[in-house]
Amino acid sequence: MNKKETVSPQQMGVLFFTFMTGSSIINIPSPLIGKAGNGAWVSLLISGIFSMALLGCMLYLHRRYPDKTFVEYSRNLIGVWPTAILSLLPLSMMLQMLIGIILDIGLFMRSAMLRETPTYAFTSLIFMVAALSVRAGIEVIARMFLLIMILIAAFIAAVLLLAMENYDISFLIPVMPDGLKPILKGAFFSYGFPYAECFLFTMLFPYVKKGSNGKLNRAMFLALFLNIATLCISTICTIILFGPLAGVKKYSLYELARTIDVQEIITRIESVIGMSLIAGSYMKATITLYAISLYVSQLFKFKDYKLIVTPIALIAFLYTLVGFDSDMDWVEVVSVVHPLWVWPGFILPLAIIVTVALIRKPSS
Amino acid sequence: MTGVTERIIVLLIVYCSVFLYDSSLLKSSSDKGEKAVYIVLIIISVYLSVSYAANLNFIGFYEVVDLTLTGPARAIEKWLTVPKP
Repeated sequence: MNKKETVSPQQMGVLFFTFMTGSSIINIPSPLIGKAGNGAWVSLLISGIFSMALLGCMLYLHRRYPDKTFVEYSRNLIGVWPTAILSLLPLSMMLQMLIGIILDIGLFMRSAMLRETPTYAFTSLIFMVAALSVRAGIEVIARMFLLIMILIAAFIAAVLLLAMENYDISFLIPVMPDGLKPILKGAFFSYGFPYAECFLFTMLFPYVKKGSNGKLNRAMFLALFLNIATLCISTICTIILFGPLAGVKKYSLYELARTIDVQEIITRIESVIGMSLIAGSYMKATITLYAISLYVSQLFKFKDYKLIVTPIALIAFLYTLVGFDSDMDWVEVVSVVHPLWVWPGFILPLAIIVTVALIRKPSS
Repeated sequence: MTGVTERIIVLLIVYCSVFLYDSSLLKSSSDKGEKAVYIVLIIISVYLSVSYAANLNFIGFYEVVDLTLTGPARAIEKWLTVPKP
């Protein structure tokens, strides 16, 4: 592991919030409401509580092995070859995440803004910028993303506030007209995206300055709490604006921004949400690419991760071109397969390592 | 511009960018393992590039996932879906 770079617990908290909120704030409300209806916010609360348990397991492992990443301590706990075999699961899931995040930008741009432009025109540029950012290192990423995240949060807060005159609170009820099943369906979906994806931070925790475990725990749980609150607010605003149509609108926050018309002065500001989606997805893709590069380099015990960043980005870029036959094919992977994929991809390897760590006594 | 020509131009631009960007790091790296993994990753990318350029739909990891996870995922989705009256 590269020991030179460190970030503060607060910076790690900001990175975590950025990672969890960046693209999901725009991508989550519509499909989640489509699955859970008016109870989408309850689904988010349920999956949020489960993600706190997941984060607790990750922080426990970090406390036991403060200088080690997931690959390094699983090698210590279960051995070299079992780690290599087990790594196929998280690596495939992380690659799927990277492809998905950037393909979402391309599909959004093609369906909402620039319909005649091929998807690769957007995805190739985002991959290039993400690879450059990963090469710059985690310190640069942490500093830069704070500024971008403040801008995105300000844009989205402004859009949600400006649309206030169109809200109708009565759309929020009934919360569970079809019983508990749609809520559970929404919780299952939102646990897959974005909550279970926080597994990636098992690769980043060793970069936090030493001796700040308490601060890191506080920063991470605060970031997760803020993320749950932000996603709930964004989902509720979508429901009270569009009512029964909220689940049908493809990019509901983008559609929400289109309805804003303040004295015919502040109008047509949906491009602000478009920019936020691009910036948010870029940040999440950068953190994911960073985690994959670290994972692969540590699996092969390299001193540095930087050489393999661009080939990994290149493979992911090519998968955005050949991985799917149609947009519908992609929608099925994201909304049906992805929520299940995170279980063998992230939850199972983490559960195995936590169980072995609990059984084995810490060495003196 | 035909589909195949466009695809080949896209690939040429992407590969040139990657090799231009990586050339200095490749020269300075003394670790043979790093270079070997780099070459393996590039070979995987070439496999995908051929599939893209010739529109051949080669087998990738999504096909493996499709075989193992799509069935159970659809079953869960169906079980959690409330039938419309």
